Amino acid sequence: METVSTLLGYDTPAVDADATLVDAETVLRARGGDAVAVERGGRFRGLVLADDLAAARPSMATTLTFGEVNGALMRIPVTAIMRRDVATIALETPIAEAARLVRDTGTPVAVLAGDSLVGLVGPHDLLAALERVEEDPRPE
Amino acid sequence: MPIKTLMRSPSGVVEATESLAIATRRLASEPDGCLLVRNRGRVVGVLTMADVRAAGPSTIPTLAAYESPSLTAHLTVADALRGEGVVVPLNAAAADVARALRTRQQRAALVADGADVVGVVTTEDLLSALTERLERDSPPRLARLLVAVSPSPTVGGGRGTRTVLDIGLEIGRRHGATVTLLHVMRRLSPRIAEGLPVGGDSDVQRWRLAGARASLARLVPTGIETTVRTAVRAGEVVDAVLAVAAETLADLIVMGGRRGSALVRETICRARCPVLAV
Repeated sequence: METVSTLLGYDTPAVDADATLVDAETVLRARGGDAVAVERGGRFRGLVLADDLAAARPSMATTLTFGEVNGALMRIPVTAIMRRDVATIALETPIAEAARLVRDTGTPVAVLAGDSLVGLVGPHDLLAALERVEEDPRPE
Repeated sequence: MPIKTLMRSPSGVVEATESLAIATRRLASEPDGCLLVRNRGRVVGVLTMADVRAAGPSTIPTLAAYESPSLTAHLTVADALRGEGVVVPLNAAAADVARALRTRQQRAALVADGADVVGVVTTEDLLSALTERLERDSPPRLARLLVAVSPSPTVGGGRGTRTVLDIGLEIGRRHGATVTLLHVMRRLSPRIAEGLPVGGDSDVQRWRLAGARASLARLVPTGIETTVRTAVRAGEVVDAVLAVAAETLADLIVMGGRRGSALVRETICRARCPVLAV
C-alpha cells in the first residue's frame, strides 16, 4: 500500500517558535497548504493551521484599522494559536491511514522520521492524492 | 468514482442575510456539519464551522476586545462565505471535485442536477473515498497491532486512554488485525508479573497486578470483530513496549503521550515497526 512518503514535498513549510502570526501567514501564502509547522532548535513543536490564522484575524466588526490589525498580528507569536496536540505518523504510514486520521481529527498530521519533522500531510495533499489515484489506471 | 455516490443531502438551509450568530447556533446542532446558504431563492454556497470561525470575532483576546458585541451582532451569513461556492454537476468525477476544492480552497461543493442543487460533497467525504479506494485496491497488510494503554483514566493526559484505544481498535478492525493491549506497570516487580515467588510486599503487588489485568480487560468493548489480547508488563515503559512488540511481531505500535515527549521519541527511535503517537 502506498505510504505518506510519496506525498511529501522537498521541504516542509515551517517557522521558528519566535515567529509572529504575520510570518506564518506569509509562509502559508507562499507555499499553500493547510498548516505551517512550528520548530525550535530543529525540533517540531506544533502546528499553526490556516483556519486558526483566519480565526485569529478580527471580523469586519472590528474598530481597528487595517494597519492596526496588521501591526498587532506582527507582535503576536505563533505560539499563541499553535496546536501542540498534533497526531504524528511515520514515513511508512499508509496514505489511507493518514487520510482517516486527518478526516477524524480535522487537522493535518506531522510526519516524523525518528526525531525529525520531514513533512505535513493535510486535506490539501490528500485531495491531490485522490486526484492522482482516481485518474491513474487501476493496477491489474 | 462518480460524485453522486459520495454526496450527502443536508436538510439545513440558512438565508445569506441571516444573523451569523443565529446560523452558528444552528450549525452546531447540524448533523452534517454544514448548512446550505440561500440568497434570493437560490442556493449559493455552503456554510461550515471553519467559515464561521474565520468570519467571527478574533480568537485572540487582545484583538477581540476591539469587536463589541453590538457590532458583531450585525454580521451575516453572507459575511462568512468565502467567495463563490463550488458547484459541480451530478455526473462529476471525485477527482474533478477534489481539484476544484483544493484549488479554490473550499471545504464543500454543491452538487447540481441542472439548475437544482441536490446535495453537498465535503472534504471529509472525499477523504473517506480516498481511504476506501486505496484499501480496496491494495488489501490491508497490518496483521498485528500493539496498543499501549493505561487503564487508569487519570493517567496519560488529555487525549487519554479512550482515544488511543479507539484508534487502535479501529485500525485493528479495518485491517482484520490481532490487537494486543499492553499496560506497563513501572513499580511492579518483574517476578510478580511473571508469576514467580517474591518477598514481603508480594501480596500487595499481586493485588495491583490483578487489578490492572481486570481494568485492562474491561477496556475491551464487547461484540467487536477484532481479536484482542491483553498483557501487563513490569518495568520501564519503552523497554516493555518494545519487548512485547518484538514478542508479538507487531506491525504497528499505537501509543499515547505528548508528541515530542521523551517516551514517544525513544519508542519511535528504537522500534522496529512504525509507531503511531496519538
